[in-house]
Amino acid sequence: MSLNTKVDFNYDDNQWVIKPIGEIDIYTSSVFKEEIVNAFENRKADLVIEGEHLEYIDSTGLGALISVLKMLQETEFKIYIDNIKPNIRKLFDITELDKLFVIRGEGDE
Amino acid sequence: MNNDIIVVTIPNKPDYTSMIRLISSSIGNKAGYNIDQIEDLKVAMGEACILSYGKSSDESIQIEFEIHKDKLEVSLHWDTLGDGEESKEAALGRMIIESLMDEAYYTDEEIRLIKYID
Repeated sequence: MSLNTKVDFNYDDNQWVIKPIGEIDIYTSSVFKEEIVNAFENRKADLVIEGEHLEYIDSTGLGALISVLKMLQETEFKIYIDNIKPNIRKLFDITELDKLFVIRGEGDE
Repeated sequence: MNNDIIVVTIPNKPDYTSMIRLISSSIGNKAGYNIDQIEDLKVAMGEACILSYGKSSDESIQIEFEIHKDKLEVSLHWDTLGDGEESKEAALGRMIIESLMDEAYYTDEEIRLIKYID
């Protein structure tokens, strides 16, 4: 399995919805990051990572999200991570990135 | 499943990481881990591969799985230490490995990981 990322602009909520389907790993993370950066440069808005179909992420994928977060910290916009699976959430907890990102989903509301 | 050894050699390229994750899952299953433990092993092995790519300047990396009665011992080995700087994500990778495996040792030529079997 590799990665297929759907990037759509939601005009109702005025935000980017990025839906990674598959695995964000050392092989796919740079393209994933590029797609997010391109979208943001195209139109500045909040970013929502819809994690429902994200099956796996490794440290390079987490690194990609960190660099997107850093990019946004220089602006007024935010990044949200929604509905990630427990195995993915576990990695955010281990690395303490749960403190850095706004993670939303059933267990967090 | 006493002292069985599985050896895999992969090119020193990110392309083969997903294959090692799959093999690790299968070996974890054989070793008798439950689903969560198999997932832990798979994730830790993905990180160990990434660390190895960063450290080795060889064309390939040897990965050896030793299945013992009470533990699985994995080593990732290479001969030549590269001169590249450690990536920013390496610290994250080590945090993940150390959290998911019971023991982790790093040298200039090897990463050795141990996970016990209940």
